[in-house]
Amino acid sequence: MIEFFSITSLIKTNISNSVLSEIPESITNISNEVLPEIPKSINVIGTDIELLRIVSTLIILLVGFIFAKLFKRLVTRRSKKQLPHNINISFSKTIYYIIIAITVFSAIGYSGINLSGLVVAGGAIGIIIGFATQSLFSNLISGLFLYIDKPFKIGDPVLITGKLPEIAGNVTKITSLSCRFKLFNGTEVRLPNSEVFTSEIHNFYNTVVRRIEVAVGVSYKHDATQVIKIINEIISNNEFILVVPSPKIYVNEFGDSSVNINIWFWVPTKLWFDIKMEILEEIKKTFDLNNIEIPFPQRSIHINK
Amino acid sequence: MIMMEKESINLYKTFEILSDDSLKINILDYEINLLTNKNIVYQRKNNNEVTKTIILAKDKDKIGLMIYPITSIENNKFNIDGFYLKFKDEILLDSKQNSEFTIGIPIQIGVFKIKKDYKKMDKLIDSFSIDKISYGLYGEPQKGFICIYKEVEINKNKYDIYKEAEIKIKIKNNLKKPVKINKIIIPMNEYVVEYDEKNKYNVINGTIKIEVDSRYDLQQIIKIDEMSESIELVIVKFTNIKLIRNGTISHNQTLPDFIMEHGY
Repeated sequence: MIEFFSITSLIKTNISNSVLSEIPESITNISNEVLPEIPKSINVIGTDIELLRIVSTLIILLVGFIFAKLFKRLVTRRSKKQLPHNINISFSKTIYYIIIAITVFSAIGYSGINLSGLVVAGGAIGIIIGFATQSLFSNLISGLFLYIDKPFKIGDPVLITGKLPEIAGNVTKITSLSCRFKLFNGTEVRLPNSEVFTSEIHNFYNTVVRRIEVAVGVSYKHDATQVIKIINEIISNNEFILVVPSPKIYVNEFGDSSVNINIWFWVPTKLWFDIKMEILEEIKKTFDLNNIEIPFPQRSIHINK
Repeated sequence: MIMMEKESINLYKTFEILSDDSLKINILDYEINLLTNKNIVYQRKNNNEVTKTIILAKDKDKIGLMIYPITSIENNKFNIDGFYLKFKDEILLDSKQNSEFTIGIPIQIGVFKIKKDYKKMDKLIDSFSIDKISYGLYGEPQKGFICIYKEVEINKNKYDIYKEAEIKIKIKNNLKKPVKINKIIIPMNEYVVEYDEKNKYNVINGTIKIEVDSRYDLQQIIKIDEMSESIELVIVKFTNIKLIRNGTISHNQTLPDFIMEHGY
């Protein structure tokens, strides 16, 4: 077995030596001409930059990115107690991108790349980016103003009117770009901050009590004083309707088809909807029991022959 | 403590231990039961209204109920900050004058679970009012206080033991002019009602001291007296103190100052 191996290796060496010796010298010379020397500099956007400088630039970028990431983490941790969660995240992200921007510009400056060629192109691109990110920045700024203005906080029940279709629900999230609301119908809505900021915001949590305003029309054939007395009884029977400020029940106007009565009373904010629901139902039930008619609009047309 | 016969309770500070399958206590129109089947069920009936609570207890033979008045009128729907007591007849206090009178503040009837061995209150399991409770707002809708509202008379001869507890008010007018007072707002505080068995009435263990220093506000100092040693009770503390306009207050503070607004 050992002999067999020594024989094969002997044959292999002899063959390879004989093959190599037969390669013409010209071929070896060609290969030397084809393979260029390692360049000392590289041309980047019309500027020759030394290889060493490029490596240093890359190192600056790498260090900058690592530093930005670590600093972001540090800021997030430090301002955790001072700032609300969403603002803390936005704040640390802004700092991160500022460090990244500084790093990139420093690196470019160090490398010696001449950016004058890019200025014209950059201007055009800038305009395009500007248009594209207009709403983004508008939302960012609005987010900042929402933070300063604090029209609501997470969990508050709000009504947003104005430009938008009315949004009635609880605030679930406030980020630097948008706000999310859980509507009372169970769905979630996201609104850009700029829209929220320029809208009318009714916050119902900031008030201890809220007034319920109900308008009811009764037929002209009924005694208004008697109707007011019946409504007053309904109001007094509900223990959660506040005694002070006292409820107001009064004839508001003489409508086309009905005497319109306004019913105003105050309730704890948390019970606003429940009590409104109860009272409206109770009024209808009591009116039906007492044969008090709530008329619908009617027109009498007289035709003269 | 007084052990009562079944179905015969009409006084406070009385307790009854569940001895067989059920326990029944009647207070005015209210019927209170402790029923045992698989579980121990606490039940309160008033007309057609029934309130039930299941009590999970290790040794059901040692469970009992105790009825005692409490001031903590609470509901689970919103916070109550105090009492809004409107005087039926306006009070005129002469200049540089001291005065002292009593009023009745609304109470609730507390139903406490007790342990046979300890013969003292263990846990408040239910509370209810004999009177209909009304609420009023003191202050502005945004920053005001929701209070229990009641119209009160001063120096009544007798206070209803199921509806009110007597509290002493000391008032002093430091102004050179007489002042009219038509209401008093008392923060919901660590008041404790004591039932005076001898005289058959409820009394609050504190005095409210009021000093009129300006025409715009009214300084109110509430002094909580120490509990009398004669009553062996586990006191339920009420710490939802919010009704303070000036300065800050901690939950442990027992002598809060309270400034009433203009138009007291």
